[in-house]
Amino acid sequence: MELIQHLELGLSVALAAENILYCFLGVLMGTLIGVLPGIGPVATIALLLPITYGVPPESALVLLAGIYYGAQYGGSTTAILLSLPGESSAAVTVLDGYQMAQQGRAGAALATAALGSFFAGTVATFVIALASPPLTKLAMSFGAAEYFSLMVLGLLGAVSLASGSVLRAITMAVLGILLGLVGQDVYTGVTRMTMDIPELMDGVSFSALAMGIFGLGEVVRNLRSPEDRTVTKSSIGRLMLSWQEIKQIAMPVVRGTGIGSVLGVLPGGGSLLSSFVSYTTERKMAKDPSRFGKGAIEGVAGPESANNAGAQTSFIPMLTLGIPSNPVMAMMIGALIIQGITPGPNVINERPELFWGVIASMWLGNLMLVVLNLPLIGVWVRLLTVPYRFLFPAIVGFCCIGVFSVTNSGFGLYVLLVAFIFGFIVWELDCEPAPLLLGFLLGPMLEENFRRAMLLAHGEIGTFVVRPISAGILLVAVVMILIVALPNVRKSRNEVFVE
Amino acid sequence: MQEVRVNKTVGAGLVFIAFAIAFAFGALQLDLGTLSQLGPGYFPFAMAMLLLILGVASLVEGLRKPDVSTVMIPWRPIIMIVLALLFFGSTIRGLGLMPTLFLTIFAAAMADKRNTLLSATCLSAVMSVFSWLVFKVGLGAVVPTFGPWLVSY
Repeated sequence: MELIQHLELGLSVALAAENILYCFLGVLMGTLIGVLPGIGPVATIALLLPITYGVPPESALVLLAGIYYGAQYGGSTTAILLSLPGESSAAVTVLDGYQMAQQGRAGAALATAALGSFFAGTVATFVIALASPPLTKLAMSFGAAEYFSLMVLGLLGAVSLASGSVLRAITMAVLGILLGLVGQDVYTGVTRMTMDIPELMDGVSFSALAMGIFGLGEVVRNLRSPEDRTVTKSSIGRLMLSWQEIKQIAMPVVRGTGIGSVLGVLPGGGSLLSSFVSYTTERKMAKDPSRFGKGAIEGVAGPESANNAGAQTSFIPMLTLGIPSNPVMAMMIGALIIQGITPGPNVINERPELFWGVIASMWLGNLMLVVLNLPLIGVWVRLLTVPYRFLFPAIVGFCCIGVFSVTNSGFGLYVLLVAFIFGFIVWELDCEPAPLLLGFLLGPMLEENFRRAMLLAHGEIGTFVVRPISAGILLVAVVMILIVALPNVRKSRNEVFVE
Repeated sequence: MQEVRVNKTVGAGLVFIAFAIAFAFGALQLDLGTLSQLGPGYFPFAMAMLLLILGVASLVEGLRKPDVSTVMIPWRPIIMIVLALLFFGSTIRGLGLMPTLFLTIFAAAMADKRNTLLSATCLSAVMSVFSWLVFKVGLGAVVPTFGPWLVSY
């Protein structure tokens, strides 16, 4: 069977000694940043992009993917023990996980999170393996017009699920597209919008932009708010689950996995949305909903499985279509581009070892997380007490040397500087920078497909709505924006994000 | 720390409009081409116009409901980080990896007034050795450990 062959190829890559090492490093660092205060996965991956420069592409993605789901995992640990969601997707876990910890059942909550995540990770790996080849085939049949529409959909989808004003999110994405166009035009070789700065010929450095806005931007915002992290010394309790508890979590885990696997694929979906939907589902299905919020183990099992499944299936659009569904995926695409690989449906055919290797490593990484984390909980808890003022100078140093090693010029540092100031300003103006990053990466591809489609259609701009598949995709995008713009949806959406 | 009162929606609108004008200006210096043969300036110009429209929309929205909120500007961290970056960018080639990194991290550590001179020195020492191991030993960065300003070759 084809699937088995593919997975076999994947495992052979994932089990190569150096990839096991990168996978291990990834999940370890991921857990670390999930646990440590004030450092998110987007910033970390931005920081580590330069390091991936020197390693083979599959190892680079294995490392970055490990960071992503490791961070999810570390985030739930702090959510349960401290009521501090390390990652936004763990926000739901706080509701019942922290209550369980207060009742001395932290061990059970942690074990539930670990096992649920592992189950979800295993299933999601197969979902990716099954869904990707047909999706790639479909994408291969797309022309330039369809591709353009698909990217518009991806961009608008990701934007509509961001928090805050939809208008400003779309505007940020457009600004990102423009920034992405700076530099040499691929068709004519003309230098565009560089303000006559020769260093901008190759475009604005993605690493510098991402590190300035996310890495350094986060530092300043963290320094503004005083530190308050008190670790309450409470016993974790036993990690083993009773038979009764296993029966309680079985169905929520399965449902959460299903919800996460589906929602993760949607543009802008991924782990955050999945965990919210799973929690609501579990509360609705429970015989006694009033237990929720007071330490219901189902309230940990469902969302934790869902966010892990969602985190993993959000790789599908990235790997098969080259379209990032969230900022972390945008970073992955950035890493591929740095490696000289054009993300898109060709990756699976031209670099099967990369594609299947990354997928197999996800499963391996999830296994490592379970083995690594349950016995080491004590160490992670101690790490929580590291003060932020010892961490951030290292982040600044890493940004500097990272940008320098990628751009190999002092100029990169000035781009970093501008991105940092710009990031601070827009963040203060409540404009989330994540859509900007997505636009930045998609901008050149959007333009290329737009120009090609127009050329093929002899300048008929109607081509995007005349071709049925393209029109259908655009229709979905419009409907999505309209739904988000509806007043009552907007209200409940804000409530979800505020919660 | 300084408190500034701003209407965020208006502020965002103004930022967007400024960028839109700058990009439109840049795009107009390029050939726009024709619809069947788009030039290098067409797509950037179209996007700049879209940005302008969205920026104006944001501005109008903000002016219609004046909603002023307070923004805290943490000057100390911002200035220290800017200095750290400028220092790194201008001295890395001359001083080399170790000294530049040490001083950069030291400057950055000073962004938080709870860091003392001693803790900043320790942090810088540990971090510059660590980064040297990662980037120079591990990844083989081309930049010298100690630059031509310090040692002659």
